[in-house]
Amino acid sequence: MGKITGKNGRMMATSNQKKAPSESSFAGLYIDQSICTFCAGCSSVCPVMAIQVRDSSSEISGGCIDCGNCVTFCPVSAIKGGSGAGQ
Amino acid sequence: MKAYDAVVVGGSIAGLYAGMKLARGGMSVCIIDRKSTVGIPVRCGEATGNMTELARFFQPQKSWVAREIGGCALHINDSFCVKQAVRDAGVVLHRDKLEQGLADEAGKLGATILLDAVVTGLHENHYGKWDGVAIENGSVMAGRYIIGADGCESKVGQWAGITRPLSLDEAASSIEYHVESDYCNDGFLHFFMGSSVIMPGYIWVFPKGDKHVLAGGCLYGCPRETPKVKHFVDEFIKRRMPGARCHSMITGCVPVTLCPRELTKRNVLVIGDAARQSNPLSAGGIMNALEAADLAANAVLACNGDHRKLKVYSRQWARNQRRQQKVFRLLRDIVVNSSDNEITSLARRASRLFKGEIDRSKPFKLPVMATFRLIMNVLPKAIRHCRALAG
Repeated sequence: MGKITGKNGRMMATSNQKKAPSESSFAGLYIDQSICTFCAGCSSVCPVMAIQVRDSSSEISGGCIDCGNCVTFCPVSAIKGGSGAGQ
Repeated sequence: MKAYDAVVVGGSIAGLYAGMKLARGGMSVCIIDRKSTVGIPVRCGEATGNMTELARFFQPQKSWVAREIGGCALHINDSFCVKQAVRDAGVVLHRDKLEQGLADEAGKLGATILLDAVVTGLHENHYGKWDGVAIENGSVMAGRYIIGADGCESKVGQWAGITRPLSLDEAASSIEYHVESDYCNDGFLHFFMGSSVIMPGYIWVFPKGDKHVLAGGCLYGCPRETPKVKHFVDEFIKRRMPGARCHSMITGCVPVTLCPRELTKRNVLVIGDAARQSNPLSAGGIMNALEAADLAANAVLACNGDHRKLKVYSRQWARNQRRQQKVFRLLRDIVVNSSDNEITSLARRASRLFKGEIDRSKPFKLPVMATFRLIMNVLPKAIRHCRALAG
């Protein structure tokens, strides 16, 4: 096999390192890491690219406009909170 | 800053195949993926074309195949079922093994595969040209060509201004369980539709192996007023496979829309789900992704530094597959806006087109009268839909 570089990007965030919901939430929305499957579907329907999904962690960053698309999309209802003002 | 001829963002089937093809063409390639292992987790129904179709792109290994497909069956509620045997219909894959095989091959050809690395943006040089991608740890992977194969998220496409985020209407929310059961484990692909099963969308049961099936669901357009796709699939499994053990669950997003007309911008190309190249009706995307990766890699290898020549990829895609996507999108809209009785009537008429087993290796002729009746049945709805789109 040729040159394969693994674990080279950054230390992998594990579920043990998850933040409390209040810390990772923006506009009141947060992702429950114990339910999230990290499929990145929420990130695909986010109109402002405010969701960052990694191998085993996901977070809503600044810039969330509380449109509610991610909440509606998530197949396992892992995204909670939000005012629903944008819905 | 490490410099490559091509940087491929996304190490799933499209990215790996494009990287492999470019490396085979003599380019230095870096494939970057956010996952920590190639191919895992699998986020796919894993049913695709037959070995001959796969062999157009690479030599498929027998160990990649979980089961040969004998045909397909459509069930509407509990009242209607039509089965159609198809010779050489396709295969259900072990997609993780396939992707690991492709990664092995790409590695042998000299490609670098960078795992567990999150790409945060396109890197611009002093002249405002994209000369690579930025990684979360602060490093930059420089490349003369950047291929976005980052799936539904399509961040590379969005940074380059080729794609835009999916609206809820354009996304299908999907979930799949690996179930230990013999329900519908007859080698056929089983599709279940109807308002008592799932609406608007379908549930599938694909054979995976001895006493193992893949049971999943796909909800077109994520309507806010209906329950989540998980609810429909859980109910389905509870009702039809009582006591069955579910081994694993995967979720995902599939674009069920039309790909953009332009799939390149300057030195950036998008392929696969990132370019919204999946089938808007079946949500299948493996063959399309391979086809797109093939065209894109050919365009990169042939362009000789002239970015304008990359546009040949968009033109080739628009000439064939984009037209097919338009037909399938229309069919999906017809299915979504039809009642159970109308879908049953359509399926019944469609089943009359075929007598006996279909052999995909031979040319197929449609019977004139049955085809005419089917078209007349669909036409009013198609016209109504086109008018609504135009209006």
